Amino acid sequence: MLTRRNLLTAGSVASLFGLGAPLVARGQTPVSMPVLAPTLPAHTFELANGLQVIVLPSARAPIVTQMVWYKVGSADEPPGKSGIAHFLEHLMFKGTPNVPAGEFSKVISRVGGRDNAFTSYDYTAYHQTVAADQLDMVMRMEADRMANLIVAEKELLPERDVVLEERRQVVESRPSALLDEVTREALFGRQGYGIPVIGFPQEIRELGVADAKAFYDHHYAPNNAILIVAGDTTVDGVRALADKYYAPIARKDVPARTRSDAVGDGLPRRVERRDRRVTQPEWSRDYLAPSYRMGETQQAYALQVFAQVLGGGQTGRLYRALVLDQKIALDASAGYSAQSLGWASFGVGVSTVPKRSMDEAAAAVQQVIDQTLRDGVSEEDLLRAKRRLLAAAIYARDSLASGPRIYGSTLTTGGGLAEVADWPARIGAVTREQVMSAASAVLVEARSVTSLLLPEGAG
Amino acid sequence: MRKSMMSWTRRALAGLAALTFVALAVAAPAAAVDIKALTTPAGIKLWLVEDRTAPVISISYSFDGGSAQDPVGKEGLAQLMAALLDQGAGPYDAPAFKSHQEDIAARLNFGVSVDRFSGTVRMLRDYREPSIDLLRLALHEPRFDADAVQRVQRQFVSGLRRSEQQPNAVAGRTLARAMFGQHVYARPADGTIAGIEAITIEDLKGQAKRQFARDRLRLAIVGDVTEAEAVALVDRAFGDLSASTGPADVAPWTPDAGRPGGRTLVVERDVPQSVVLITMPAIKRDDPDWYAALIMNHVLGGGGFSGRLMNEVREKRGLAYGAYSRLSTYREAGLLTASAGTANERVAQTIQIMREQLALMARDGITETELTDAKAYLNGSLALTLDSTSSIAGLLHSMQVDGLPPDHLLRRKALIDRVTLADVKRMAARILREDAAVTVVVGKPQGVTPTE
Repeated sequence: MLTRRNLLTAGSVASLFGLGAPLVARGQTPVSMPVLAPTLPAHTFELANGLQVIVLPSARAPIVTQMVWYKVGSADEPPGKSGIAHFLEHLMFKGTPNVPAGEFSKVISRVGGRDNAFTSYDYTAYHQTVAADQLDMVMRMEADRMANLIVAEKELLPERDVVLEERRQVVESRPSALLDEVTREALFGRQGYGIPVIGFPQEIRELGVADAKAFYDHHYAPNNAILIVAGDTTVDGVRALADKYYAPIARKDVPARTRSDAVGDGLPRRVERRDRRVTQPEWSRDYLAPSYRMGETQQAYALQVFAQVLGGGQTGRLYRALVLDQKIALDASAGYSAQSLGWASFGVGVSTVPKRSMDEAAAAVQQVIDQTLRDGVSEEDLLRAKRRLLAAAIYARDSLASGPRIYGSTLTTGGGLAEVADWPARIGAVTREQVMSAASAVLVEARSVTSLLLPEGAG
Repeated sequence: MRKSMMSWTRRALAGLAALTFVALAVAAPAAAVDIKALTTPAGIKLWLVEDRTAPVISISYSFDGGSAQDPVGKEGLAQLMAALLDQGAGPYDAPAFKSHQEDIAARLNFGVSVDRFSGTVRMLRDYREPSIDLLRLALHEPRFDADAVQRVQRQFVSGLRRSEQQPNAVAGRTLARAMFGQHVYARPADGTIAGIEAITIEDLKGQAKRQFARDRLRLAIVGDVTEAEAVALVDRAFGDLSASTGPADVAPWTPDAGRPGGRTLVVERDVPQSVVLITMPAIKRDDPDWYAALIMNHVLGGGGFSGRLMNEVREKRGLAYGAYSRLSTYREAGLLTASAGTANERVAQTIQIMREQLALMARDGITETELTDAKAYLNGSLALTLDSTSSIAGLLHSMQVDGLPPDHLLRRKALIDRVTLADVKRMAARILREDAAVTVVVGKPQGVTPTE
């Protein structure tokens, strides 16, 4: 996920929901977790023009956060125009007839607020946090640029250089990020999720006013967006402002979103990057995996639990085996997010200790996976994994920023409100058998890409 | 893809990531935070805010003394000790400690800067007592088992090797050496490879004994907890530590006199984008003119997208993804750093523009409108930090580190509002001195001539 200013970890908050089963700890008296959804109660309504509105009131501090999420991301770009979704996100700060170029953030700063935006494969989002009495102002300006953006050559050209610098900073200066691009292309093909969100440099350089304007016209519409307001406000207050500023914006026909089901050609693949900047060799394997929307979607919950069992923190099986017991790795982990309109991936990764070979690390990972698939997960493994997920959900309630991100990322990847609310129960209901069945179906080498990050000249 | 792993690595090696920069002043409408200053039966002072938004309690605390006190030859000792506290304590070896911690969903973090050891705890209300017991064990009875020590040493060494290839890390270290010279602040808080490898288990045990004393402790607790519960939890975690282990003093720092045109250092790295830092001695947090400096920095480049540097370097010319300035405060020093990252062939132009902006502000100060806007931002943005129990606890803790009273949030607005244009101009002339500036460039910059 790319932001105007910084790189965030993709989907980190949104994947942290809770559950409600009583849990038993090893060697302890049985303990249970409070049963809590990951956000405070949400209120929702829809405007006549199709804009979906979600309100998450919280009176902790006299501040509000507004987020507008568009159901469009880099995977919706036309061929040859990689990076246009993210570039447009930058250009959204370049003015309307009512707010001159560069003024948007300054106006917000002047009242002590903060704002930014980010782009991912499936969504683009804009957000501001301000004092509660400034909600009117930020809703007016956000609605304004939903309909009235000006894309001018004079503003576009320097901003394109900014994006190229962003690419140098967050991708080209990092060998692991460069390898990631190769891995994703091998896994998903040169399309959709296989193309970097920020775009290929040779294509970014060619993006012009017409490209930005066309992308904006096709995708930026109230019926293709979600407005989320959280903090010190009321449903009635938000409704009045939404009626005033967003309701007048006309609905548009927006293209249907498609994600290719045809992935996996040419797998398994092995890719590597040798780079003199690499000091720490890394081995990883990414398996094509179902998401909430594509593939065997019923496996999505079980895979979240399995990722915790295999590679959650320092109690995961990979860390225990490779780092603590065999001492051949400095780090070992697994990761999976089900939030995707198309296919997802399940990843395992290791960084090896000096002088130990990649083959040895790869074999050790495979051994842990084989053993887990053969012997199964214990009830204790299952409970600990669920407990980690539940606790993350409770902690998410403690932050004003979490709720809007959970709802935004869910609703822009094809989910509904109930998916957020039901998540704890769905995770809680996952059985050992479901975990084993999903894991055996997904952790198949023939449907994976193995990636090696190596120092230059390494064997 | 590798994202999950990278974020995991950052967490495991959190000590390495800890920066030496502390405590931007932030404040809120005072009504939003009701701070109670309490003293426990064991004599520990704490600040409490009760907040029942979620069944969560956060503690933010620190002990005076940090990497500045690392013995010569054992650079990284304080940091390594901090990283080992949750790798085995009391009856638990490292895996058992982690398992138990996960069973009760307690989140403990430890980190070290040049001046202090800092920690945070987040816990679920239902598990507050077992969570506090884990913290108590970590501080009172860390085990420093040989295999855990070796493992974390290896992880540190790996992190340090990696950081040698990271332009930002190289720039920060180069700058500290150039700016602080013979002073202890010249040494990196995360140590050196030789220093980390030389540390013994006895060193670690000694360090834990010295570090944790009640008279060095500052603490804030926020969340779903009553006053009586908070006091009991704090004494349970910290009450049995030594009353005192002596001061953690740092020698005063006197900046170099400077030289015409300042100094420029270039460190070659094979990267497509150079990192540029321009740093000058600034002021300490207890300077009576602190808010004039804060306003000046905000206008220069502290305000995200609204600063002059961002406007000139990014918005007008597209030279960089970002251009910022920031004030960093140490116990015995203060710095102002302007920074940007730009393509190698455009480094010279970027440095020239940044220097012009510094010189312009040093000569003319800021405008009336900028002053008004900066005050509005600084007054208004305080509330934005009140978005979670951990951020509120962090704010309260940083106020204590800065020596501010609990009612500071009520007085802060008046301190900001009374700053005049003349105050800012005077401060700009005092800090933004080209002769005192050290410029560090890491990359393959074109057209930049180093002075040494």
